[in-house]
Amino acid sequence: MASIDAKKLSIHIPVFTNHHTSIKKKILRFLGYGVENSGVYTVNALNDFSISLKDGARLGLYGPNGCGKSTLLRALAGVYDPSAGDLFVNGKVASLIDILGGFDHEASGIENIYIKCLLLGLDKSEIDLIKPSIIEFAELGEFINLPIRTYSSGMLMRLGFSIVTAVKADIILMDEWLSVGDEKFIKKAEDRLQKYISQSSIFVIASHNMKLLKSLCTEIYRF
Amino acid sequence: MILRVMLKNYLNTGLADFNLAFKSFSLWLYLGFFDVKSKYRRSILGPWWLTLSTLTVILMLGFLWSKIFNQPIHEFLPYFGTGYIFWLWMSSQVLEASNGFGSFSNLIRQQKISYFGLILRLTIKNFLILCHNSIIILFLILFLLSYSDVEIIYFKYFLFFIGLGIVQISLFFFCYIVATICTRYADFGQIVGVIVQLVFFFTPIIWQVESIKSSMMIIDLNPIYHLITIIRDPLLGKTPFLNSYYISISMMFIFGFLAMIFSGKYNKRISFWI
Repeated sequence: MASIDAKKLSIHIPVFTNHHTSIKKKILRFLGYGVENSGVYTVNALNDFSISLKDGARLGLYGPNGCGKSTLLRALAGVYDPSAGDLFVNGKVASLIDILGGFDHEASGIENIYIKCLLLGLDKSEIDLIKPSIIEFAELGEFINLPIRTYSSGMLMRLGFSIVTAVKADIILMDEWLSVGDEKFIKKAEDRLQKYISQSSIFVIASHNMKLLKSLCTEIYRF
Repeated sequence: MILRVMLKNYLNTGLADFNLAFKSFSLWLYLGFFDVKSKYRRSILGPWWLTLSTLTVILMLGFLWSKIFNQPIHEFLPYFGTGYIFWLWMSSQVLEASNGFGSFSNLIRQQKISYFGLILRLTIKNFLILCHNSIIILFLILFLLSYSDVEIIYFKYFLFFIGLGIVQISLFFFCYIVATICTRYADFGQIVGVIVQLVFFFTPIIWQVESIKSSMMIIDLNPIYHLITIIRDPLLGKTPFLNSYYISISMMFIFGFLAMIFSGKYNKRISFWI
């Protein structure tokens, strides 16, 4: 049973300048020398957001750039702690905000499969089990044994996509629809993504494409 | 009363993060292994390259300083060599921690992650490098045993492992505190760098305790001296003073306590800082 409960959730992100990240200046200020502290500027990225999602929920977040969609996704992923209000997230979360996050560029494709899957909460034996299917889907051929810094950006995305969609999750968070690879790959990626999402119990996607959201979601939240 | 409740809250949150780190131990172990591997990926000798360069430094400087200090080389080399390897191990952990959590930002901004786990990764990496270097230590001990009349007492080797454990745990917590402060204050890393450099010269690694005739305070008040003594001295056939154990163990608990408080108080803010 997965669920998301947000009650009057607010996220305030402090913006530090050089002035605030210097301990020398802080000590000088403390001793009474130096310039007065101008105070840390905070961005109210999200204000009083409330929502309750149960199993089967498909939520679309709609709004222009900088309205707090991504911040909300990050909060749901557990990256940002609520500055005010409450947030309860139950279930295994897969955050597809950045499918390349956690990759090590010196490591080979195979090693990155291990890194990424471990980060997604699998253990070694589970990874060994799904590894062949990931390799097969990514269609990287011999490249899978080479460091991923040698990959093209399309190949990187293909690897990241194949890994993320191979690990089941209760809650899927997505920032814009993922579309990876060349013409041939896009087709089979689309099918895999649809299947991956249909297996989850809660799906949250942020986008500014209303048509897409309407086709995917049962609920749409406008910022 | 309020303070006690607050402290208890911080401790609980800190412990939760600590538990999370050990729950995903295999992740950090893999990443730690991987860090060692990737650092030397493009060289033939791999991580042994580092061992070789450490060995060269120890042999060259050991020879030089044994002449300068007028010490027989079969005594000075094992003393300096072991001390230097342990110092490298200790200082590189702290220096890496002083880069702050910013270097792991691609992990932190993606999902909820245990900050103690990130420190664990760094600890494992440096411990693996120490394991590679331990082959030099083995040779140095054999060298010492064959040229001087130090007896083999197994109990002392047992003491060595106890000491190593105490130092590693203290450093783990200490690194966490350093990393947190360095994430918030960008210029704190430089300060840590300078301090680490100074501590190297203030700690008996090149020079020996016996060469100081007065102001023993320089040694007694240096916490790093006590840490390095409880690992180095047993290997050289000496028994460390009980005092050093008291101080090291107290440090372990103090750092542990502080790290938990830090974790409870600041963990939630780290992702806003990077």
